[in-house]
Amino acid sequence: MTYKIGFPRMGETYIGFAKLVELFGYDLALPDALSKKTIRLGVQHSPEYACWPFKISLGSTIEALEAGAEVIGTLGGSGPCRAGWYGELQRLILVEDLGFDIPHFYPMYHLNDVFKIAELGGTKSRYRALKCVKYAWDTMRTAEYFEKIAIKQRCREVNIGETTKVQNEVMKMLTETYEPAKLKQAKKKGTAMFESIETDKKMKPLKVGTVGEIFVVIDPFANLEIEKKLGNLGIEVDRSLYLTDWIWRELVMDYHPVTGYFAKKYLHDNAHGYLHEPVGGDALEGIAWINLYKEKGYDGVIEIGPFTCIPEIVTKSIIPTMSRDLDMPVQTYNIDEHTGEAGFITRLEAFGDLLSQRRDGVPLPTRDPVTGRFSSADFGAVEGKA
Amino acid sequence: MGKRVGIPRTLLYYYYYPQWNTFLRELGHEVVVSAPTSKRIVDEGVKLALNDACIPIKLYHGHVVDLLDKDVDAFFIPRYVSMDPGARMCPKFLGLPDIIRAKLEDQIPLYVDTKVDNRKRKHIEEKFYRGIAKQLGNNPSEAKLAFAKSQEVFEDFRRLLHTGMSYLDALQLYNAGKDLKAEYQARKDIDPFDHPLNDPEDPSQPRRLHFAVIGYVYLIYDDFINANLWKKMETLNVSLHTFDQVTEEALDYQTQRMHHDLFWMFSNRVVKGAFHFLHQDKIDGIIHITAFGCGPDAMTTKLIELEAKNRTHIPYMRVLLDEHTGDAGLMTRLESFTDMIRRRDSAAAKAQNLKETG
Repeated sequence: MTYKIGFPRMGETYIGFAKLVELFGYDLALPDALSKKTIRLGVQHSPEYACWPFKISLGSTIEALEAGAEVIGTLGGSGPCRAGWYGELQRLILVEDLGFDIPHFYPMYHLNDVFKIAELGGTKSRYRALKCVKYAWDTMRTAEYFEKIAIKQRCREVNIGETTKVQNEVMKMLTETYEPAKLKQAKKKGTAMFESIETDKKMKPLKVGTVGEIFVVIDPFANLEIEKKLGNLGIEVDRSLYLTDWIWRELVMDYHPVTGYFAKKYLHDNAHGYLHEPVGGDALEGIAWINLYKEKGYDGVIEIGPFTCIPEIVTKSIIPTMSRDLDMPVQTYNIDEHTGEAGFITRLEAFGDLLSQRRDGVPLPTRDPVTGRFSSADFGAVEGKA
Repeated sequence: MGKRVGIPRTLLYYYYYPQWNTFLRELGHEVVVSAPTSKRIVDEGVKLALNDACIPIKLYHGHVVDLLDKDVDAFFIPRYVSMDPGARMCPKFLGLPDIIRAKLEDQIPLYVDTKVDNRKRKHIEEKFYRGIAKQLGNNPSEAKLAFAKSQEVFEDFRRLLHTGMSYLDALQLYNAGKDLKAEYQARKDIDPFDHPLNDPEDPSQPRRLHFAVIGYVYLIYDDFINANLWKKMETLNVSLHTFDQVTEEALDYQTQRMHHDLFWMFSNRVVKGAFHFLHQDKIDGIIHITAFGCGPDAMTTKLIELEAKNRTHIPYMRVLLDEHTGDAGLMTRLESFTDMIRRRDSAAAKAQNLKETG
């Protein structure tokens, strides 16, 4: 008999995880894309002061259970950030508060937990399980590679909205690919599709890096599509955190075979002078990357964290001093279920204008961050209305 | 040459102060403690700290600012990463020296920010204290002696707490220079649940109630931020018991009730303390004190609530503190909680009477 498996969604990484469990031999009970309903479910059953990712992932897990999941794989860790305890607490809430019957609940603490899931799904051989992991890993890397291109290219597109369209297409293509050879083809094809987008080659956009807590940085729903909005405003974005990088560094090995450096030491060196201790979460990465973005000549940094995130409070406390010392504008965001989109957009636009004034002495061209359309500078003149 | 070392009167002051004080004095330094928390300190802290931070961190900023006026040579802001193997402190504690440094870099002459990280092996504390001595300009041999002495005092102090004495009372004894060993000998046979005012034979006297106060040391012992909890409960004829009065063995025993240990040392102890009191039928009620915006507490609260749900005969109340907590509102809540328990008592007694008489 094949089990149905579900897991909380997080950005585009779900493509890789879905691949993995399908190859293990499970039926997929994928929760719907994150939505208002996810938040409602999550907020309703979470402790009041749990952080935003906890609420989203709990809501998403409940949706997976509603879709018929019998096996749940979810987040785990070693602290001191709260994220490592998500799995345990969610199990308590789901079983004791909500009365779900979940015989197989696996928070991922270690690679062994992956093997446990593989065994339950019918992949007894570890060699085969590792092969599945390798394939899922490559899928995830490819998805991230496409995301990287998209957020870099969106600000340069001539026909507004084309990048997003292509991005959705290539992601769909990835979900339908099941063989390593086809994956390589898909990567080539996707790259070509991105290249075929007509872009303004002469444009010199502002460059902004995003740092912060990994869930809200990666997940477009959780960060109110900040990367897309920045792109629509005409700003090139670089993301400091990708899930595969994080997994490699924290769970597999510190030494990075491609770049050839010891990531933890590298980050530590770059955060030096401001933060001397990895305080959990992504605080050290955040501080180090602000430094790195300065070195790389970026115009500004945006720091995003969930409300009451402990490590991000450390980062946010240090940022004002750092920003002053480095002469680098840094904008910080706290996001939770009460964050309003209008206020969020206003702050983003103001930051864009500030950066533009700093560099070129003129404000950014007036564009709508949601649609990307150029709009009239007159206040109140809305397209399509009298 | 002795220095004036400033210690903020908050956070781990309420746990390690006797050890720090003994150690620094043995090395020939003068210890200056910031003033007890007041409105001014809270305001200073709120002004300086990040507005999303929890109230204890804001208070810490306030206490450091208070020390700035006291002509202090060195600020004692150690980095407590881990004391129990396998558990760490809250991330904010880990980053505390860096946070303070970012805010007040130029104004602080010398940071004592040695780190203690006991995750992998035991008995690393001596190294930590040697590091402190080095930063203050003392040599290692002095440090070794001072550490041995401070460790002894600290152990006596903890033992005194385990007899059921509150930290604040024990601290008074320590500050008055009393012999802690003798005090322990005098108290060791007294049952903390047996109060001299409590006379079970005399029904006209209201029964002395025993509550457990669950929460971090810097909340339950700071009289300003918890709005004078201890004095209030004394007027309501209630004794309070805290998790640091429970021996480590008893806390470890509670591990069996948890799927997985928490990552944070004090949260672990608080949760296990709560479980200990919930499963010990000497307690009439539990008050859980937590701070607004406290990260680990978002997790521990749920754990304690779920366990309290299974032990319904022990009433449980959660009090959330922040810089706006009003004295009157808290008093009302505590009074009604106590009244509710007393009423339940008398109702049970009436029912018992009815049963006996007929």
